[in-house]
Amino acid sequence: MNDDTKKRLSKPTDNRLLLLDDDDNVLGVARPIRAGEAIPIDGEYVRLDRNAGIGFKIARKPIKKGDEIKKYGAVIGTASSDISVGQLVHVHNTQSNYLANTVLAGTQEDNNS
Amino acid sequence: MNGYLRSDGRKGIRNVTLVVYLVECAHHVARQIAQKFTPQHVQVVGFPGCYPNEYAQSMMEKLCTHPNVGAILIVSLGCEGFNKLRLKDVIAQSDRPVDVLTIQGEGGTRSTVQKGIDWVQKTKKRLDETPIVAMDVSELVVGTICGGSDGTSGLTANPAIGRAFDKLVEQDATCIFEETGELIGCETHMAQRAITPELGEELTKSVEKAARYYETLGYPSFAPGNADGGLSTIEEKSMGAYAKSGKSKISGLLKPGDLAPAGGLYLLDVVPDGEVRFGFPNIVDNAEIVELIACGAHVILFATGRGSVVGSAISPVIKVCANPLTYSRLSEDMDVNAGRILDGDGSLDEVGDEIFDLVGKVGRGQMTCSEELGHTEFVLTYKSFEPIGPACLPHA
Repeated sequence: MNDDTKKRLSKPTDNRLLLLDDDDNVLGVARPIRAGEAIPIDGEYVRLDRNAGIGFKIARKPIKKGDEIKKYGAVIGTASSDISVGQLVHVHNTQSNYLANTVLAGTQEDNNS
Repeated sequence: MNGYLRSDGRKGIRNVTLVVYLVECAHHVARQIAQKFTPQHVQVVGFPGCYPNEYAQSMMEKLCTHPNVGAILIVSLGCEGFNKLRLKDVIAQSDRPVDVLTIQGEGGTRSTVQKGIDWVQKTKKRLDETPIVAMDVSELVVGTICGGSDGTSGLTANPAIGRAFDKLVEQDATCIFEETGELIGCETHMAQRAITPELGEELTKSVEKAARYYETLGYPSFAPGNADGGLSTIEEKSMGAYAKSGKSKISGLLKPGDLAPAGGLYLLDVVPDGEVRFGFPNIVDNAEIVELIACGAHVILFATGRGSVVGSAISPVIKVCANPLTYSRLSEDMDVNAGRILDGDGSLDEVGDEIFDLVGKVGRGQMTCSEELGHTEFVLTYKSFEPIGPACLPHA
């Protein structure tokens, strides 16, 4: 058993979630998870605040307003509000550091299942 | 792995004959010649425009002397602007069999087609005599591209290709990634991976150039569909594409047709220099694939989520499917099912290993899905580039 496997077993994370880099504070969603479901993230059970569809992200760590959002080990934006573990990380709480005022149509939860 | 030894010392993993049309008016004749043979052995490439362009001329010279190419038949109408004698000279100097058929001088379509078929048949014997020698992974050039992306591309196929790239670079292979227009937001991260600060600046400049170019064209950088698929920012979208590059240090910046001086990871800048002149910098995936091949790529790793089915002339294309649902619909076109990671069946490292192993198998002659299906797409259009500066290749 290698160290990674040990770490995973000692701090289980739901297998519908994907950690892309150890530095990341978000997890990729591999298979849809419904709002309200309690799932383990690094050993801690949390309830999802919104539906999380395939290709979406949820918080792996508590993220404060103004904190960097990290995915792939890189900064992909800035939190526009406080985000707790298990919450969906998307356009409602994340801002681009490049095109901050981008208007995004048709991006609400209806599509997120 | 074994390779076909060429006079410049490079080795090929295929030994194809190209039938090259120099203007759209000669395309049909070229196609009729190639149709007598199998697409795995005889392929049509060409340039549609009547007016000369230095980029197209030099690209065609690089492509016709690519290590996977063994023989070249040039088909000219006769009055187009392409410099066919310069092309023929460059090829002849590489010791490859080459001939030019000019339709206006050969007596028309039928007689040119017949002469072309005879030439390809006659040349086969010389092709079969190409020396076959041992080839190391370090002699491989591997390109990567993504097309038909969706929310899964950045989760599975792109990072899995990144893992394969890391293994290839470790073994001193040359790996090339591209699409500077989809690296907007990654420039700071990318610059930190450059082997010198000066190269880092060049990488940043190439992305800034792409941003300006797309802005002039009015290209949308982030469509509502991206957000519907789970992407929150332009830099997140870019990072998904950027994941194909893996984690290795970046050894240089190339432009189409430049050859890497040694193994390592390189960025290919496909956005033209100067004023916006010839339209979109990447009209379709195959235009970028051709540019990677012009940089010597023996094989292309193609990440797709929605499900592109293309292959390419000259170099095999390995399609890595990001989305498990797409894979189940289009499995005959897909070489690797990276989407299985989302089903809990395998990790990024495992799929990365699978891609790495498949590169070796394809190098040893195994056909990819698109090769078996006879895909030989090819696109070459007008562009213009300035030569790269010395900071782009610090170890040259």
